[in-house]
Amino acid sequence: MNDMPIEVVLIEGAWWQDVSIIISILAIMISLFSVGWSIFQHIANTKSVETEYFFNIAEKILAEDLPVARRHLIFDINGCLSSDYMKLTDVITELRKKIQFFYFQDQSFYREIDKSLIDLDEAIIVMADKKKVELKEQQVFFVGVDNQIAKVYKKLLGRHAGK
Amino acid sequence: MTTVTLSFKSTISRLAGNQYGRQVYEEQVSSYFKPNQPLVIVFPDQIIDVATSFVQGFFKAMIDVYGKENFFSNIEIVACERVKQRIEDNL
Repeated sequence: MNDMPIEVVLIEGAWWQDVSIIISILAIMISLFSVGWSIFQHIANTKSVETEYFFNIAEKILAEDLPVARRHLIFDINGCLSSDYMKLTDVITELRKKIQFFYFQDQSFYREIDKSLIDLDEAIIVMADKKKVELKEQQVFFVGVDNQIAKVYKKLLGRHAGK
Repeated sequence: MTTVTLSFKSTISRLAGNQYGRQVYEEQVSSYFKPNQPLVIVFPDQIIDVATSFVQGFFKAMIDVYGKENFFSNIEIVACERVKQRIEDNL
């Protein structure tokens, strides 16, 4: 038998054309995703480096001074906030100075943290000016202070994680 | 040189609140404040502490005119050490 030449005829509109279009689209999507991911990683790394630097300059305040000063926030037997509250408001002032680092990096982030610290300072001073604060109100106050401090830590640590 | 002595209810010993600061400025200081004329602001002895929010509200109009850089060359604060320090730190 003579070998018959195989004739390949590409038919326009056949299924493989659809496949090639799909592969092209997938390739474009993967490329776009890669570019997007690179940008995201770059932003995350930049934020992480900034925050790393911030933690270096504010580490003592966050790890030691603030928690210790918080423990000095107590009411005396007459239901008045002990004057030791000033230790905490002084630490808050110090932290506000340190976060000015972010003013030149990311103003909206800076303003967000700064506002939280100013609100916390205000809540403490308002409470310090009250006389004979009931136990229930004291408890609500402590929960509010702790939540506000936690909010500040969360924002700073969240940024450290690149969020 | 103009001197303004602030007055507060006798039960108040600490000042807080941005809005309250602006209100105190408007009611007790604004009519005496003339740009480029030295002004002395006296906090009475009863005031032993101020919140950042009050400082920012109370001094806003003066900071808008002088900036932080020229503030203390035009405005003198008479108060207890604690209040003076808080104002300096939180302007």
